[in-house]
Amino acid sequence: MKKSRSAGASSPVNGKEDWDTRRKRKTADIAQALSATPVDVAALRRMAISEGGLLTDEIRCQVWPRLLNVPLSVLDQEPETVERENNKDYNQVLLDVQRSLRRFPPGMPDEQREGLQEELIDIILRVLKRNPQLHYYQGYHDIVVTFLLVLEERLATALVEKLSTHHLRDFMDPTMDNTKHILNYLMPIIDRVNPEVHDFMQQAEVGTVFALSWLITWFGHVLSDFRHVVRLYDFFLACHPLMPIYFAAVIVLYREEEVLECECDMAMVHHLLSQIPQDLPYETLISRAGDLFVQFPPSELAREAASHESMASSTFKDFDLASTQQRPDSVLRRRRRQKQAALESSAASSVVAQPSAARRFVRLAVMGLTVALGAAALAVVNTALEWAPKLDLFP
Amino acid sequence: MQNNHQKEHLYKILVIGDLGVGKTSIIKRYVHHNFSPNYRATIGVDFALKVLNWDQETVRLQLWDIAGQERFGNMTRVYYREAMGAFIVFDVTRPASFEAVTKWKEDLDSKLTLANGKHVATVLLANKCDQGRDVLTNNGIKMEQFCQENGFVGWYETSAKENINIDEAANCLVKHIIASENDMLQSEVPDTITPQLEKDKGGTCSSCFRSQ
Repeated sequence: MKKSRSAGASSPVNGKEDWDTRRKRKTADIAQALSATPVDVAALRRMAISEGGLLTDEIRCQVWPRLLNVPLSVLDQEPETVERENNKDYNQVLLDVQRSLRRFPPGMPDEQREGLQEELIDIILRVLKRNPQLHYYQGYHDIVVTFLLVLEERLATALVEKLSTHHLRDFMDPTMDNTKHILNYLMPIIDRVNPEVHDFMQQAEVGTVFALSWLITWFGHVLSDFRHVVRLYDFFLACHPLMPIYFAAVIVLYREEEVLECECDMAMVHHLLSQIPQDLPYETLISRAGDLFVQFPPSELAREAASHESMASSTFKDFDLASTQQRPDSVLRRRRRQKQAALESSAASSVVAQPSAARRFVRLAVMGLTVALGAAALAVVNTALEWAPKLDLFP
Repeated sequence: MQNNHQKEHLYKILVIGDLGVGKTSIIKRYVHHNFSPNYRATIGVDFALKVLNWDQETVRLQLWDIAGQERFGNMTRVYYREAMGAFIVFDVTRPASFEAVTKWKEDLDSKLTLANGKHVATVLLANKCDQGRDVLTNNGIKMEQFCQENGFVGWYETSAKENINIDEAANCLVKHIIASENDMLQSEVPDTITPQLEKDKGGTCSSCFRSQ
């Protein structure tokens, strides 16, 4: 890992060959982390975040369950059958699944796709039945189909269930109030980085509903290339549950010129922003989202966002606790890594610690680092992730 | 709505109704002249713009495609603001989606009132009429009665897939929007007799009702 960082830092302009080398090394690093006893989940998290994410669906099959602390023993259990008759959610789920054709690979034979759509319905109904506190929302099927296309049915069910009771929990309340609350984080983040864009959007009264489908489907609903979707899932599975809203902010900020040139009108700005460009530089944006998370952690934005506590964040703390308990030595390892990371990214972390008055300038400094010293900026992200769950999120 | 050499109108229109009835398909057909069986569920709100020439004037229609799932209702409320008209859509092959029509209409009326205190012009669309007809739509007289009782200015059997009656329905709605706009302009002057477009005169726009 250390080697790959210094390699990345010493040659900011990386050719294809160079990426191939790094890719091979990363594959080996992931294999090593998986074969360690106990499995080095923290390393896997870093791999999921860093350049290229988890690389292949084959690797994802092995790593995603680890990131969510789902035991592979679920593979031994027969999936329970779910009654479709008299199921309150069936009609709606069916309608949404029928309309999910575009989420399947274009070349897939109809028969295979139809089989997967049946499994998709089963998984959704199974999770909802086992967790009566959860409520289906349109877009949930976009999350589930992503898992089903990577994993087989039993693992997909287990992962989706874990995710539904943690990262997605807020979206599955009886009402969307908590989802609205999470969307309220968007404008404060934009304001910290580019007040001009923030003010423009406020003036247009565009609101945040343009980002709703991004948030509740982890962008699965709006991105047409499946590789981009799973790359983002790698990132989000390894991160704090509020990371998708930071990524949403990063997309808006990336399009700042377009936004400011747009007619300052709710309809026009909503239209512009809800049409997500398909050629986004995902790796750069992921890195930026991480930077923003470090600089403006949720705790700092919470007061602005609203007064309600976010369920996802609070449940995430329990979740993290559960996944660290399986590795009693994790604290020691974390400390060791933090020291290492601090050395490697001393420049970046020292600017991050500046008082808020200097924030806008700091952003540029860190952004600059992101481009020039990808590895150092990545260390910042990693450091943040190490302590993110420890944050007092809502003081 | 700038007054250049040519007069321009901008009208905001809501498209609402249960999920999967074809709201997105109707808008795509009307604005982009095409149809796909593979539209995804609308999450939140979508938006499309249609420009019409109307009596030598330009009419811009902002069509707001509102997600059908009830739980989004609280979030999409803000998009109802300043709407001048609405389509409420149901699926002729799914009776439940028709039963929800009155609920959507009541919800619309509770969220939106014109400056003159009246409800916005609303046209009812019985969509997917190419896929066989439910008993509900086979009786035109009953549908007209339903429209009058529930405050719809007209209704159409539509098919986004086969491009049936989409333009006609939109023209009917625009006509009523313009009429209610004129009505409001006049009602701003006190002691003026205003033309009535009330439901007790449901036949005012007979062209809006398809003869069965």
